[in-house]
Amino acid sequence: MTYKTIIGLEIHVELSTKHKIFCNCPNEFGAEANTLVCPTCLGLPGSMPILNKEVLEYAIKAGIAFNGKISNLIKMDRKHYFYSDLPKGYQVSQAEVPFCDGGYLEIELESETKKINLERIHIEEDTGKQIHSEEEETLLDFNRSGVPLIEIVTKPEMNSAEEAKLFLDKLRATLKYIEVSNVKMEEGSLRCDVNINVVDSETGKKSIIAEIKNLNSFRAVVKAIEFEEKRHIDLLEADKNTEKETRRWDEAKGETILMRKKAGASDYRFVVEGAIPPVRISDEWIEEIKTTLPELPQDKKTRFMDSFGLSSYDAGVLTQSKDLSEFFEETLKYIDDSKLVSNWIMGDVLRRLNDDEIEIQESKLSPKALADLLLLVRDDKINNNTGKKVLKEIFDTGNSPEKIVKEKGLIQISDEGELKKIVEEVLNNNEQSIIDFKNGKDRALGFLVGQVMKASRGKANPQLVNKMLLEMMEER
Amino acid sequence: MISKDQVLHIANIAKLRITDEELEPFMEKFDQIIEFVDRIREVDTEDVEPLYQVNEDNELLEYNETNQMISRQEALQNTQEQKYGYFKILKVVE
Ligand SMILES: [Zn+2]
Repeated sequence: MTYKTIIGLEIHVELSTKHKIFCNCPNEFGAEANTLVCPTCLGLPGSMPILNKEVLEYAIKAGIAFNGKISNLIKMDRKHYFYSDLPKGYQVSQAEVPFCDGGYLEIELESETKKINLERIHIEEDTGKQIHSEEEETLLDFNRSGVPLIEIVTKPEMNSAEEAKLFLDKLRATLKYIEVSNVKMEEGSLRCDVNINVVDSETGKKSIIAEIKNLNSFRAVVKAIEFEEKRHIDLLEADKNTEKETRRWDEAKGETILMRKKAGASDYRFVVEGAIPPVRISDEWIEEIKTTLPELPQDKKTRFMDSFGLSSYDAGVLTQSKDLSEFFEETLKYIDDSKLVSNWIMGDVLRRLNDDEIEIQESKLSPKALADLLLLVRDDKINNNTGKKVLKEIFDTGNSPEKIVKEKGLIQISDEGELKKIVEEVLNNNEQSIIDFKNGKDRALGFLVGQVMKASRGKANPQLVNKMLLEMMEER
Repeated sequence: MISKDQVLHIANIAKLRITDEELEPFMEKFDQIIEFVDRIREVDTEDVEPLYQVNEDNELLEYNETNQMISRQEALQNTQEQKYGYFKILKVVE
C-alpha cells in the first residue's frame, strides 16, 4: 500500500523589536530572571496595554515578505486558558481577523519549485518561561512575557520531512533577510509545531491529525515527522485511529509522547480585547513599509539567474542565506567568473561549512581569499586538486592562498622541461601500460597521468601531462 | 437546556469548583443568561460592518514612552515563594 504524508506547520517567531508588545520593557534575551518586567507584562490588575507601533511594522514586513494580504484592520482578541506561564489567564492574540491573510513561500525540490501556501499570520504576545527543576518545583521568569510574536500557519501542503525542512530553511532565511527576528531555535526565537497525518492513496482513508510540540531544532522536526509517518501508517494498518491529539517530541527517546487530547477552539472562549482599541492601517503605510524592505530571497534568486546565468537550483541555494549571497557577490568583485565561483561555493565551500556546522561569516574564508584562490586555479598556477587542498588550508588557518601555495611549494609545474624527466621515468616503469594503451585500453592513460601526478606530488599540470604522455608514447 | 456536562466542562476550563448542590441552580441561571444574551441575535446586522470599539482611531497608536519597569524585588514582593529570583510554584507537568 502507498501512503501520502500531509504536513502543516505552525511557526512562532519572536520579533526583535526594541520593546515588548504592550509595554515599554526591553525585548532582550538572556537577562537575569524577572529583571525586564513591569505591571503590564506581569499581568497585574489595573495595568493597561498599549500596542507598540514597531511590532506592527515588523509584522507587516514579514507579511509582505511572505506574499500575504495585509489587513487594514488590526484587532486583538483574548484567548483564555490557565497555565502558570500566563499570568493574566488569557493570551492577547488575533483570532477573528489576522493581520495577514494567505501568502506563500516557494521551496526548491530537485525537480521543481513548489509553492507552499500560508493560511494566515497573526500577532500575539509570548508567555513567561518555565524552568522545571529536579526538586518537584517550577520556576517562572516573566522577562519573555509580552515579547511580540507572529504565528505563521501554513496550509497542509508539505508531503515529507524534507519538504518541511526546506520550508523552514526558506522561512528562516527570509526572516533573516528582512531583519525582523533573530530566528534562533536554540534561544526560542523560532519555534515550530507540526501537524501531521497520512492518507492511504488507494482507499483515501486518513489517519487523525496529531500536533507535535517541543521541537527544538530543525533536526528534531525532521526526526519527529519521520517517526510520526510510521506511527500513523501503523495505526491505519491496524485500523486503530485515535482522537485528535497533542504529542510531545522526546529527543532522548527519539519518539513522540501523548500529552493530551486537543482542546477545541471554543474552549478558549475568544473575546475581543477591549483594552486595546482596533487600529486602522492605511494602504499608504503598508506601501511605505514595503519600500523599506531589502531585496527578498525570491527576487535575488531571479536576479542571480538572469545576470549570472545560474541554474534555478544554484541560484536558490546561493540566495538561501543573505550572508552567503553577499559573499558570492563580493567574491565576484575580485574575479569576474560567476560560474567558477558558484561551482566552488556550491561544492567544496558549502560542504566544509556543513561539516563544521558554521555559517560563511563565521569561517576563516573571505571573498577576497576565495577569489585569489580561484584566480590561481583559472590561470593554471595550481591545478584543481591542489586548489581544493589550499581551500582546506584557508579554512583551517585563515592564511592567504598565495602564502599557502608559496610555503608549501604547490605552484603547478607547467614547464615541459621540468616534467619531462618525471614522465619519462613513469613510462620506463610502466611498459605494460604503454602496450595496453596502444591496444586501445584508454584507461591505461588515466593510470599513467595518475602516476605522474603522484611523482610530482600533485603539482604537475594534468592537461600538460596528458599531452606529453601521448606525444612521448607515440615516439616509443 | 444546558446540560450538566456542559456546565461541568465550562467550570473545568474556567478552573471553578462547583459542588453537587450548586449544580442545579447554576444550570438554571446559565440558561437565563444565555437566553438573555441570545436576544441580540434578533437584531438584523445584514450589511453592517462590525464595530469593535467606539473609538477606533489609529492616532492612538503612538510610541509608548511610559517606562513602568519595576525591580525584581518589587516584582517578586507579592509571591509566597521564590527562588534564585524566580517565582516558585509546584512542579507543572505536561
Ligand atoms: Zn513590561
